[in-house]
This record gives sequence, C-alpha cells and structure tokens, in this order.
Amino acid sequence: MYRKILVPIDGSRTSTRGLEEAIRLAKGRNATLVILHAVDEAVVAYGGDIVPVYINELLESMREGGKRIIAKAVAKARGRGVKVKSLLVEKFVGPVADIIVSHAKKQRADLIVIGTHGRRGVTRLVMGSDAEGVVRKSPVPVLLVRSREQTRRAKR
Amino acid sequence: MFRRVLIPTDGSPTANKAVKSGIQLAKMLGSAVTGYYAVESIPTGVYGEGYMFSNTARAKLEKRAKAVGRRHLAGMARLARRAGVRFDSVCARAQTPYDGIMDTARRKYCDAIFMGSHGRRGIAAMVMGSVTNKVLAKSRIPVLVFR
Repeated sequence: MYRKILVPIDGSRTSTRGLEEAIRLAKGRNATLVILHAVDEAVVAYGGDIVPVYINELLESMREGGKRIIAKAVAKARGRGVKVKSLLVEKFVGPVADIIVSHAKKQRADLIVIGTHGRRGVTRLVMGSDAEGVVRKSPVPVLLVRSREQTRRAKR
Repeated sequence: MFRRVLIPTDGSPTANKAVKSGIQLAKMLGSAVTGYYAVESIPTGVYGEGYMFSNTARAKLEKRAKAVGRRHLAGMARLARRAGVRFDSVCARAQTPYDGIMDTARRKYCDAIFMGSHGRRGIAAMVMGSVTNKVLAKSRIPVLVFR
C-alpha cells in the first residue's frame, strides 16, 4: 500500500522510535524507506556565543554527525531486510518541517513516519514543533510516533 | 504491527478518506478496526438564563445524532467486511469528540489511531482541525493523520 516511506531522523531516541515503526511497516511489504537527516545550520547561526573561527569546524562536525546518524539508521533498516535510501540535507533555510515536506514531494513518498519530539522540542510543548509542522504541511499521510520515554513520563 | 486500530469518524469527507485508507492499511497490517462516532452531549446551561434545553428536546437531538452516527458506522462496517477486516464500533456520548476518541481508544485497547486531518469543524482554510490537533498532542499511541 505504501511504497515509499519518508523517515526524517535527528538521531534522538524519539526519531529512532519513528524509524523502528517505519521498519515494521515496510518489512516484507516491498516498501522503500527514505531516511532523511537535515543538518540544521541555523542552530549555529543563532548561537551567539560561538567564536566565528570555530563555526566551520562546528559545521563540519555537525555534518559528520549527520552522516553517522544516517549510517546507523541505514544499517538498522538493512539489517532487518528493508530497502533503504538516504538523504543528507545541508544548507537550507526555514523550518525543518518545510524541508521534510519538500523532500517528501520530490521523492514521491506516499507516507511520512516521524517520531514526535525531535531534539529541538521543548518539554513544555507536548508535540515537537517540527513534527507538528510536518502534519500541517504534508500532502501525504503522516504517522506520528510518540517516544517511549515520553510515554513513560506522561503516565507518571 | 497494530493489533487494533481506532478510526474515529464524523462523516466529513476527510474522515471518509481516513476510513477508506485506514481500512486498507488495517487489512495490510492484519489489524482489527474499531469505528467510533462521538455523540456530543448538549450542555444544559449554555443557552442563557431562563432558557433550559428541555430533557425531551435533548433526548430527541441525541437520538438523531446517534442515528447519524450509526449510519456512518454502518458504512464503515460494510467497507471493513468487504476488506475482510475484523470490525466493531462504538457510538457513544462524549463530553467532546476528543474525550470520546481517547476514551474509546483506551477502553478498546487500541494501539493506534487513524484519523483525518480535519473534520466537520475545520474550515477549509484551517490546515489541521482542533480535534485532530488535540489527539496528536495527547495520544500516547501512534496517530496516522490522513489528508
């Protein structure tokens, strides 16, 4: 039913939950996962107290980190016998949600699976703002998966 | 992967989309489906002082809402039967549709909710309905939002 599932990840436990759910959905059903990680350079741009000299180094390490996050996710999906493709997005402007939605369109994904609460999520907000933005803007169905950690906390 | 999925409907076109796609997905995943229609309770005091909704009028309205709900759920049951998906339904009074959805999901041990991005209450310009928004914010089980 779903041939191409876009899975945005940021390396957090929450996004890993999303990935796991996506793997379960795709496994044995001939679907391809498209794993996307966006290196959010804005984090650097807004961080006022970083000495400019280090910015390039910092960006480089973020890119390296992004590659590692993707490699780990790809290995996980492959290990479960799921077809997988990956995308590392650098240098973008605007909210991460926009990047996710535009890549969903470009890749002709027919489903987006996303863990709620990315790294940027503030605990005060019940839903990660990126995840909410994706639901608002996506042309295709979006499966939102709450992280287990979050669930446990909510139960208390 | 999901044993039982809750699909709430209010009979709106987006809800219908969620119903159709949701049942197909449930079939693929081997999940059972619980259909749900919220019969909203009519508050007594809201219509101003000196005017009370008479109990008979209230009962009548509720009866009508229930009939509408049952009709929508019957349509769902038909689709599920055709797809070979196990189906049951709940058409019950709830304080708000949101409360009804969460309550039914809990009581029926659903492990996912499939729903439309906005229902009857959503203005076309609004991208996400208030009920869906609330469910997304509060649900501990995965929510699949259809557009």
